[in-house]
Amino acid sequence: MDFLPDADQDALIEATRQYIQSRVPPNDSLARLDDIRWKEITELGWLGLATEEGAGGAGATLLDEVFVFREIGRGLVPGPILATLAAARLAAWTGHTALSSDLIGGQARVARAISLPGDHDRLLVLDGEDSALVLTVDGDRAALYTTPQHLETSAGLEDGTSVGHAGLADLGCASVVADDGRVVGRLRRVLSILTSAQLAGICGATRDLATEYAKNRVQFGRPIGAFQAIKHKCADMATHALAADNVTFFAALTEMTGATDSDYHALAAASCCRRASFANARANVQIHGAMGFTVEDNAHRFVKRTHTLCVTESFDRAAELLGGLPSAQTSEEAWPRPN
Amino acid sequence: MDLSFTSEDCVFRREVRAWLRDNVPTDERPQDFAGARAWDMAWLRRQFDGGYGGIAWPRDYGGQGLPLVRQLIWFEEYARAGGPDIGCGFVGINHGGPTLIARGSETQKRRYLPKILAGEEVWCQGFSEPGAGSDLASISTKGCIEGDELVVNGQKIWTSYAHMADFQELLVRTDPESSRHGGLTWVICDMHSPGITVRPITSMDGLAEFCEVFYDDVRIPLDNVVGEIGDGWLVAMSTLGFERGTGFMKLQTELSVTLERLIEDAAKLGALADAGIRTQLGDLRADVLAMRAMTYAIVSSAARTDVPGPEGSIIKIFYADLAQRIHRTRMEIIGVHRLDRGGRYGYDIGEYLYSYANTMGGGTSEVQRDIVGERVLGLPRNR
Repeated sequence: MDFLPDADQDALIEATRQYIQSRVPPNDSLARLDDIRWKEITELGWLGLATEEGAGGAGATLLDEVFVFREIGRGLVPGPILATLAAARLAAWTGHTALSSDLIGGQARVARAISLPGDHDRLLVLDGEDSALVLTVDGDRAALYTTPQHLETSAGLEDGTSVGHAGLADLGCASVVADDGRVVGRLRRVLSILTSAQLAGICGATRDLATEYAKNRVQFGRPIGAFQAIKHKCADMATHALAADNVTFFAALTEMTGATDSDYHALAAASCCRRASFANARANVQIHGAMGFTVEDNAHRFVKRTHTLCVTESFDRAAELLGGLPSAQTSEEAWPRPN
Repeated sequence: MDLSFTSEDCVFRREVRAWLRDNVPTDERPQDFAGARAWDMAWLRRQFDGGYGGIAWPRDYGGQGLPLVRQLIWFEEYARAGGPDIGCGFVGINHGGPTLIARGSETQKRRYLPKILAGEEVWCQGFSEPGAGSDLASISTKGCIEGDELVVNGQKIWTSYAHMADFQELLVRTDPESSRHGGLTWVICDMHSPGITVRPITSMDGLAEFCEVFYDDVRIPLDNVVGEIGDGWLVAMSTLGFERGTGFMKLQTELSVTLERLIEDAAKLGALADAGIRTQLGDLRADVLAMRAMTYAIVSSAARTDVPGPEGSIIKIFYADLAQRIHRTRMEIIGVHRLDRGGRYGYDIGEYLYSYANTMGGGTSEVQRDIVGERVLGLPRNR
């Protein structure tokens, strides 16, 4: 048992952070990745690190993907990276290895469609513009469709983005379908854990940005970080970030053992990271004061990205589901209850 | 990064589980001070005789010399076996002992450590004073050097188990010209010395586990000084580092057991039908897992560096808040039963009342936030 990143993992984290800093820096506010950058991220292996090598992946681990997606969250890198990764994983697990290889190699991007509440036939399509395919994950069914040619769009929550509107019937026939509950459950956990990783990245980024600002912004003759009202907010942000990181690592490591089909640990990471990310994103706006309310600072983008991530994976329901589960089977071995 | 335990670790876990199943005491801990002390010490002795005393302590001083991860396994199994609270053994095992291991002389280690493990001697902590709580550095209890002795006058407070203790980790001001962090000395005080008066204080949960201690010309040999004279602040900080760091191994598993029992009670009481309650319990389960994961991280870090760093304060903030939320939810779920202290949920009520101490004991959460802000994040000091 060693619950700290090793040297290779630290190197992966550092290389990912450096790439994002040099090619997709948050201050450039890119709403989409152009084809050159999409090619670059496929060369870095971002779309299939943990997919098996026979299906175009790198045969690495979900934890390695967690480290990459934490940096993606931290750097506010635009989508549809996770939907494309998940589509490739779905293709690989359903025997469509050629499609998996194509997606991992950057041949096509995959949008994500989510059902509107109260009307499961109406879909909201995220990142539909550049995407040849659409991924749906609903109940016990996951499927890939061809993106409809004419998507009606409206402005998205995140600046510079748009969302598409489609009916389920507009999608036509699915080219890949999984309706085996175990496969869909596994896919959902991958989506969930890598979304938690992005939220953990937001927690770390906002902690660092707020702390840096609090060290430099002077009011009443002192850096505002010397005042407990601000310092304690920053300390709480550090607490949220440490919890979010480690609970996500724990969920990924548990999933990697393959010992359980339980959603317990993925739901725990979702519940914890959702609250942590919203709290930190809010605190970061507040610590930046009026500047944090403007689009001249990035603070608002962490708030909006947190909403996007949490809504896409239904994280607002994670805690309720977790509260209704039987107690956890742990990774080392199930503990008998004392009398 | 690796969550798996070695096959030797798993064998150890099975042995521990079997041993605990056969040995965890089933009789009730007596209420009176002498009886409670004898009960706590007998249980420590049994663990020591079973080969589980001081799992990560050096073998030379009665410990088992095993890696920290074995200590973690022990605590996980202990909590799940329903092992009792450590009681008056707490200070010796959790900080007096570890501080001596880190800073004590060879003579001190050989004299005190084996008796702590064997349940022969009880320790208490003498840091806080009426005028030095969160501002611990403003300690004013004096220690005057006279020949080869220290003569102590003053008062300590919030001293858990002082009325049962044989020795105390005592922090006194030995340099009368000094102020703040300089001029303090960490010394081992024999609680049976002439001039010591102990007055137990009853806390809001009804227990009288902590005390005021008065010192009137108490004479302590200079040989009992741990570290150097005037170096007491650093010695004390290493003590608190243990309390705030690896000490969480046991607490985090206890929280998990408490929460799972609460969820069983909630099912029996019909509260799980409420989506709001399920959500609250799910959030708590998530945070208990986060607590466990952070504890694994700090144990891994301590295994690499030996002494816990200020990150322990982050876990302390998180733990204290989480424990209080669990106990508040517990009160909500037991509903009207919470008015019946003598009824079937009396123990839960006591635990809830005790949880008010979580954000104070070992340093308030406000002071922890200062430490995290200044020592982890590097923000400017506020004083």
